[in-house]
Amino acid sequence: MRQESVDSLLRIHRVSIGFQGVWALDRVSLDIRKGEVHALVGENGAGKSTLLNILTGVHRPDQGRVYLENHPYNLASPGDALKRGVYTVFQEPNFIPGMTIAENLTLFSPPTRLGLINWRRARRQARAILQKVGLELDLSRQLNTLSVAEQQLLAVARAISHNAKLLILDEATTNLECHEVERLFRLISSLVRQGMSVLFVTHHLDQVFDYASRISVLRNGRCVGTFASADISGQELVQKMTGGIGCQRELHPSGSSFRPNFSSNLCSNANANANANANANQVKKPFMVIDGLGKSNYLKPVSLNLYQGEVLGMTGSLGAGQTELCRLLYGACKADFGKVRMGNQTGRISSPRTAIRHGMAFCPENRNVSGIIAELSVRENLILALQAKRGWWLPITRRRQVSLVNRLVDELQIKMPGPDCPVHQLSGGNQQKVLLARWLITMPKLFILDEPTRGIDIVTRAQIIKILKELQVRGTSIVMASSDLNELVTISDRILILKNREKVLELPIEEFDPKALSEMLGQASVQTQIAAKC
Amino acid sequence: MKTTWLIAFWLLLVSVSTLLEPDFLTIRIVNGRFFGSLIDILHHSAPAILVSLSMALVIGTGNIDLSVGAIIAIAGSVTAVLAAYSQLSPYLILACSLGVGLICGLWNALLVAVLGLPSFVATLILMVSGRGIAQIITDGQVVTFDSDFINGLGNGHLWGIPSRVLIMGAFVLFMVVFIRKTALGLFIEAIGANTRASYLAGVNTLGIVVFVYLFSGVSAALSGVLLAADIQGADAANMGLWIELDAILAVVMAGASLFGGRMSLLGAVMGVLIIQTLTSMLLISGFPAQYSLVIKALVVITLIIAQSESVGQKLSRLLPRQLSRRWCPQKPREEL
Repeated sequence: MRQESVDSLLRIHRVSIGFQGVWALDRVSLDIRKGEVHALVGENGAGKSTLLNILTGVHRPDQGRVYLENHPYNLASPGDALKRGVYTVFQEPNFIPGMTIAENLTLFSPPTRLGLINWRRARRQARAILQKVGLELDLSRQLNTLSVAEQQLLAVARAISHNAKLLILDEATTNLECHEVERLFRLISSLVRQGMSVLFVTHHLDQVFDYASRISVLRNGRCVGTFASADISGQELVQKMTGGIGCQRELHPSGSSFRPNFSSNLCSNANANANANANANQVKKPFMVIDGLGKSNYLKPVSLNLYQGEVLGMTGSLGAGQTELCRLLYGACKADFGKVRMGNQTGRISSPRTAIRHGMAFCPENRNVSGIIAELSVRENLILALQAKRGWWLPITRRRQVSLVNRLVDELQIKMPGPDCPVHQLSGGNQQKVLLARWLITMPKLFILDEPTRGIDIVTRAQIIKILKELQVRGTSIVMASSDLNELVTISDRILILKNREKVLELPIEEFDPKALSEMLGQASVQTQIAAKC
Repeated sequence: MKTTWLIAFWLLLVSVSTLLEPDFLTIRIVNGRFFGSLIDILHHSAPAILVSLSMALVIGTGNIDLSVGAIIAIAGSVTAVLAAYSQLSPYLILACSLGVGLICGLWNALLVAVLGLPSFVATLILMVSGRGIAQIITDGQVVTFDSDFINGLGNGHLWGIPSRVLIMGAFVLFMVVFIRKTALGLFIEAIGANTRASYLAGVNTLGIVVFVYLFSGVSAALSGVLLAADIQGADAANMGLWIELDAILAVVMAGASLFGGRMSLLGAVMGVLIIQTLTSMLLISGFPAQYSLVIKALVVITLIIAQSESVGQKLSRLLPRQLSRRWCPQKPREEL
C-alpha cells in the first residue's frame, strides 16, 4: 500500500457521486501509477464517463477524494485539469475544423509579441511539436482535411506540448483502424517510458490486452477491481464487466450482501415458463412474423417470429444492432426492406403512430433524450401515449387521469411527491417506471424495450423485471434488449444474439449458455472493431 | 403561478394610474355605450391579444412565427380592397380575408413542419415578403372603404360593449376551452418540451405543428380585419407593424421559454394588457412622450429578469447557505 502511494500518479479514494438519486459512482477507488497504461473498462452506464468527468473537472465528487502526486486534486473548471497536467483525447477530436494545424496546436497559448500573436513563432512551435511525435504534416493544412487518425495523433501531440502527466484516452481509438491504433500506441509507449501515465477507456477489449498493463473494471458504479492484464483472460474480464452468472458474489467484496439474488429465485420460474412456452409454440401460431426486416447501413435483414406471452431477449456487444432492431420494429426508423405480418395484415411499420395502432409500445434506450418529457408532470408523462392513441379531441378526464396515476403509482411503487410534480425531479429509476406506466396503460400487445434497466439501481431493476414478468403472464409479447445477462436469463424465453448489426443466433433459453456467450462477446469485440472500419 | 404575478403587477399598474388620474377606473355610459380608460385599454389591446394567444401556441411547440404582422397587413389589405372595389357580401369578404390568413399559415407550416426549415428563418421569409404582397394588393395606396358591417366590427358595439372587445373576449374563451379542454395543449407542450419523445409516444408532431401555424395565420388575419375595420381602410406599409415582437414579448413575460414547452394562455393576455396599460399610464401621467418607449422597455425587462430562473439561482448563491438551502431544491437521494 505504502509503496503504491509512492509511485502512484493519480489516486482516487472512495469517490461517490449521485445524480437524481442514483449513485453513478459508489465508493470507487483506484490508482494510476507513474508510467503505466491503465485501462478502464465497463459496460455503458457503469460509471466510466462519470469518473472521467470528475477527472476532467466537469463534475465534482459528492464524497471521496482524488490526489494527483499526493496533492489534493480539486478542480474548479475543465480548464484547471489542463493546468494540472491532465489531458483528455476524446473519441471525436476537439479541434477547430476550419483552422490550420498550426493555429490549432497553438490555440491555447499562442506566442505573442506586444500583445499580438507572433505567427512565425507559432508555426515554429507547432513544427517542433509535430517533430516530437514524428508526424509529417503541412502546418497550413486545415484540420478538417486530416483523417480522424491523424487528428488523434495530433491531439496526443498537443497533449505533449502541454507537458501532460496523465493522458486520458476517452474512446479515442474507436474510430481508428488497427494499424492506426498501433501507430498511436507506438507514440504513446515512447511517452510512457518517459514517465507519462495513460488512462485508456475503451470498449475494445483486445486493445486493452494489447496495450494496457493494468485493467480496472467498473460495474454499476462500483469498482469491481484492478487486475494486471497478464493475470486475466478475456472471458474473465467480460464476466467481470457484465456480472456473468455465477461469479457475481466474488465480484462484490463490499456491499454484496445487499444484492438481491433475483436471478436464482426467478431463474427456475423463467425456465419453467420457457419450457411451457416452447411446447406451446410448436402448436401456437406466431402473433407477429418479421420477414427480412432491415435497412441498408443500419441493420442486415432479420427474420423472427414473436409469440404471445413470450419474452425475446436480445443481446450482443455494444452497437451490435439491438437498438437498431428495436427501432425498426417500432417504426421509429423506417425499414428499407422486409415485411412484418400481424394477424392477416402484412406490411411495414412506417411510424410510431402506426406501431401504436397495432398495439405496440416502445421504451427507448436513452431515457432522457427520447423517453421522458422532463418539463411536464408525472401525470402528463404517464397519460401521453394513451392520449395520443385516443387523439386530441377525446381528452381523458382529469379525474380518470388522477385515478390512472394513482393506480400505477401503487402498482409500480413509484416514489414521487405528487402527480403534478415535474417528472425530472424523480430519480432515474422512478422516471423509468413512469415510462413503463405510460405504456402499460395502453395495454400493449407487443412491448419493445431497449436497455430498460441501464443506469438504474439494483432494487428498481428487480422491480422492473417483475413488472415485465407480470405483463408477460397477461399475454403481452416482450422484446427486450439488454447488455445485462443476469437479467436476460431471468426473464427471457428465447435469446437473440446480434453481432455486427446482424442476427447471428437465436435459441431457447434452456440451450443458452452464458459462458459461451461471454466467449462470443469476447471475440465479438474484435469483430466489431473490424466492422467499424468497413 | 406566474399568471398570478402578472395579474398582481397589472393591478399595481392600474392603481398607480388611478392615483395619477382619479378618473381612470370610472366607466361612464354615453349613448348606451360604455366609455372609460379600462375599456379603451381592452379595445386597443384586442389585435395584439389575438396574435399573442396564437403566438403562445407556436412558441409552445418550440417554434416562432415572425410573419404575423405581415399576415395582418395582407388580410387587412384584402378586406379593404374587396370592400372598396367589389360587390361581395361582407361575410364573404370576411371569409376571404381569413382564408388568406389560412393560406399564409399553410405556407409557414409547409416550410417549418414539412420541409424542416428553422422556424425563425422560414417565417422571416413571409415577414419580409408579406408586407410587399400587401402593398401589391393595395397597389401601394391607402385604400379606404365604406361598409356598415365591417365598420361595425371595428367601431360598433353590442350591449354597450365595443364589438372588438366582444370578439376578443370570445376568442380568448374559445382558445382556452379549445386548447385546455382537449388534449391539444398537452400535445403542444409535450412537443415543445421534447419533440423526439413525443413522436415516439405517438403524438402527431407534424400535424400539431401544422395546426399551430394555420391557427396563427387565421388569428393574425382576424386581427388584420379588426385593424382595417377600425380605420375603414388599410395602410399596407404600417398595419400591424412590429406586432409580432409585442406578441413574443407578451408570451415571454408570461414565463414561456422560447425553446418551447410550458405555455400560459392567460399569461400572454395579461402580458399584452400590461404593455397597453403601461402605455396609457405614461400618457396620462403627462410624462414626455419621447421617454415612453424606453420606460416601457425598462419595466418589461425588469419583469422578465425577475422571473428568470438563472437569475434566481445566481441570487440564491449570494444568499447565506441556510437560506439558499431552503429555497433551492436539493439533489434528491434514492432511499434504497
